[in-house]
Amino acid sequence: MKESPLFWPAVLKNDGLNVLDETLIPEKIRYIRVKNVDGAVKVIREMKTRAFGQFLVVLNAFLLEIRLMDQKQLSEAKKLARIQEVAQKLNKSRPTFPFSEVTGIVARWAVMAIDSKLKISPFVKRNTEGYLESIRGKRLDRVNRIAAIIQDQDRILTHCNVSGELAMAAAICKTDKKNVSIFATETRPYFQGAKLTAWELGLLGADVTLVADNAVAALMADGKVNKVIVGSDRSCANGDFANKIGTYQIAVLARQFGIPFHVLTQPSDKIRSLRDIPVEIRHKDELLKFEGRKTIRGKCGAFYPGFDVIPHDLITSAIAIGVKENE
Amino acid sequence: MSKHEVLYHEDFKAKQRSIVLLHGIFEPRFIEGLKTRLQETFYIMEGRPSLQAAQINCRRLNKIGITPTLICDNMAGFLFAKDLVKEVYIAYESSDEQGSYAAIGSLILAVLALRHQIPVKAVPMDPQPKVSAVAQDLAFFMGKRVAPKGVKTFVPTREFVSKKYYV
Repeated sequence: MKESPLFWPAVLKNDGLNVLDETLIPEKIRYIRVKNVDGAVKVIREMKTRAFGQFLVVLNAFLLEIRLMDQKQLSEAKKLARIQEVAQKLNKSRPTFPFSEVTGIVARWAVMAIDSKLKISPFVKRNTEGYLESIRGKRLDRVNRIAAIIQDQDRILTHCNVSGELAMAAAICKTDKKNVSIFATETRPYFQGAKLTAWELGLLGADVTLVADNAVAALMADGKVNKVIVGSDRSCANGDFANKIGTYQIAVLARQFGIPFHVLTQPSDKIRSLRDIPVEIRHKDELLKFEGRKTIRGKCGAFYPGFDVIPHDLITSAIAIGVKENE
Repeated sequence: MSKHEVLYHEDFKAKQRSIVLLHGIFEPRFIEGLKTRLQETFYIMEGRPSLQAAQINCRRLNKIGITPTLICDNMAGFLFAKDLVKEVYIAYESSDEQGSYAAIGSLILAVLALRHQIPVKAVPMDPQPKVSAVAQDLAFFMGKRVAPKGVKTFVPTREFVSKKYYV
């Protein structure tokens, strides 16, 4: 299967983690070298990688720290304390993201090792690597499932970026001789749709057209789109989900115009419903300034909610990926 | 840059139904008419690709003493979902008994307003600044390329909004 660079954007190599700097795409393909948890926190806070890339960085940060702990020959008790400290640092790197669901798993493995009188390093390393491998397999499986719901002549709308999966599914469709076109919203203010999605879809040979976020209703009303496929950053126990700002209005429009709305989800029962999802309100300068210049002249405030929360009743189907702790 | 804020659903209750949302480029007399509403909260949409609507509306609102709040074209849904919007004004170019041709992005607001039972009012667009967009305008933001070279773009500047959405 042809792979998008965004599908697995962080890879351990030698004694460091190579993290794809998504802020440079499409102009440059460059990797940031991360050597420890502080470097991991930095790439997350600075949004050098997002969404799935951040989860990869979080998990691999433990593998980096295990290597460092082994070099320092720390005692098992100190290793346990360090893993818990690393977990806390990663949890705080992005407050609205459920990193604690993942760091908690790794921290529990460390405790499990101690309780079973096993060495922490090989136990946690083996489990973390196995977990990553399992996630990779499930995501590749989901790429096939996405391709399966795409029919010949489909005209798909997508928003933000789903870390390679849609582009890879589109490549499968092309191989299967399905004629498919994809509309990608530019996804202000970070332009993930323009910079990442349009780029990787083009890279993998898909027919992609870029639209402004304000054109989505026109696409649907004029029959230019017959299917919506988006990702999700966070799922609730009742099926509600959070995703990049702009997703809610697309979901409402899809319902209004009778267009199927498919979501790639990571089921979780940690949050009950959308009312419990915290929303990051980002600094107004992210709208009012662009590379040091004012976007709007005059006196103007700005409001930038980072995420939309979408009720489950607007979803046609959830294409889920589920990875269990003990897989 | 100061820290970002984290808010929960309940935190928005204090500002329920407080926002007047403006979309498109309005005639100066419409904006001047808002002088009687200085204490209210006005949000304006960016209006990609040119941001012309935001520029002009901001200038005209400032002239009458209003400091608007800017949002991107994809953020209106959030405001409706949190029950923050009380009224929507969209600027139309032409209108008949079926509906209006209005600034692109208007239909999104109309559908959201219908779902959340918020009144939508169409007012005439300012005919003077000609809003047009070349397809490749979308590949740039403030002169900087933001999309891959050669990418196809679709950049409508108007759309039809049926009268069924209006108050």
